[in-house]
Amino acid sequence: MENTTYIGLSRLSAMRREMDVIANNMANMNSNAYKGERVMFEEFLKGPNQQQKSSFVQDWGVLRDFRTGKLEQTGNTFDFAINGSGYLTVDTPQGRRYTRDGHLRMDGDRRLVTSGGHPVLDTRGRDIVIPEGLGTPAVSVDGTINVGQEQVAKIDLVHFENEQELRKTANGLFATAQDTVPAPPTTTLIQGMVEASNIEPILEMTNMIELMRQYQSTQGLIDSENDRLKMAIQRLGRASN
Amino acid sequence: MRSLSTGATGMMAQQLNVEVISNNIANMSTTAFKRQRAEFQDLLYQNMRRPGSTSSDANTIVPSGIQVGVGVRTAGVYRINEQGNLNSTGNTYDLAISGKGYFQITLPSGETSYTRAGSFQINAQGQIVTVDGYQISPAITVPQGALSVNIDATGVVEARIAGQTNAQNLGQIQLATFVNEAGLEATGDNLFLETAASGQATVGNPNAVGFGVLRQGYVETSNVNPVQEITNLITAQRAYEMNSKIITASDEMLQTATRLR
Repeated sequence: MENTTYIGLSRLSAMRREMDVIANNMANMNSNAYKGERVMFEEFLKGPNQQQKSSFVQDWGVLRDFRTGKLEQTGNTFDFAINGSGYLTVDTPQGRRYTRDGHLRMDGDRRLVTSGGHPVLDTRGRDIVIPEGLGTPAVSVDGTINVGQEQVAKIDLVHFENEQELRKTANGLFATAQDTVPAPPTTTLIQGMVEASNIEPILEMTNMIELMRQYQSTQGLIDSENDRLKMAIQRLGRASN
Repeated sequence: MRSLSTGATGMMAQQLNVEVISNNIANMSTTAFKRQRAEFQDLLYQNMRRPGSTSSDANTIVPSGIQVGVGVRTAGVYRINEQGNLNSTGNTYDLAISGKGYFQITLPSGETSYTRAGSFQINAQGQIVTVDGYQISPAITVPQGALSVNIDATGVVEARIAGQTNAQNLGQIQLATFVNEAGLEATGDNLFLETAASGQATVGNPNAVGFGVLRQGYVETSNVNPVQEITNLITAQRAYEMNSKIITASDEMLQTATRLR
């Protein structure tokens, strides 16, 4: 009998989580290479038998929008934008992580590191060390780093069979247990540019407004259900007298 | 409500963004100023349902799980080292670098500092100094009675002196380059210091491989593009507003929830 209320509540709590996701998208509107997210819902059927079914709503997963964000010119030697699908491999104390945030720098040991200080790896899984005194490194579209006449390393550009499975671990890094595959040849590395976030604020705003209205109307549904119940109990009470 | 505080992190990030933009606009006319950009990264994620875990139905694996982020943080503010325009001034000691490199400046402490602001002057002793009076390194002294001073693209300084037929060589201006210019530490007054992130300075003559050329009688303007900055400012302001809308909306949702009977 109280299923209506519970169904309404399942929708309310799912919407609350959706709001959290929208808020995170909005907050990261200017984060380098941030990928927008959307909550997916599914119908969750529950009932004692096939005849009596209630349809609850459940937030089922987060769908990530992997489109490339707009590329912004910076002119810096160690800024790289990945044009197309692909990730840089990063070595962290927690294990390998992957990122598209190509704002790199050189640390005290002349290693190429992310803005978080984690070394970026080359195709052989080693740190990339920029040799001294040969001049400014030039990086070609396939990730080969040349300093002066010398080829130093090749930045490891990787790709995944299932990008949706990647798990975000803050600071623009992704974690996964999947095996990496080399990025397709259409993926290029552009030196002197960074990738901006792919958030479309108007879309997020519209989603947020819609969500709020739905939240309020679901609330209305619970309210009227509550009134209906109250009335039913009152009438039944009177009838039994 | 998580989205309340997420919205707040967004507002704080945009405030910093506006601060950086306003500093760029304030330095629009600063010689050789390089505009800055605030860089943001996403904060931690909470796993509501781990990606790869099994869903309620047997043998189905959730492809992406539910991970909810808790906002944004500032990763850093960094400098964009694009070349500024060269502005003709006609002054003898104004030097602009077209291409890579920094002038070396000796600070009163003896330390070497680096700058691209080439609006030099000569002091009472005839030494070429910055507007703050710091000497260029290697030091160059212009003798009294010099009729004109010529600095060529490769940094050779020559003076024409009354009564002499040949120009007198006064010295050579050298430039320093860095592997990672973005890693230099700005100390104000258009000066930069070497850091571990920038790498050590490589010194060489202008116009050599990897070094820019000198232009006498020009100064490099800031690389701030006013239109771009205003656009960024509008974007940042709107982003600030949108994040505040998130807070308002979350608040209303919370209010709705408390009205539940």
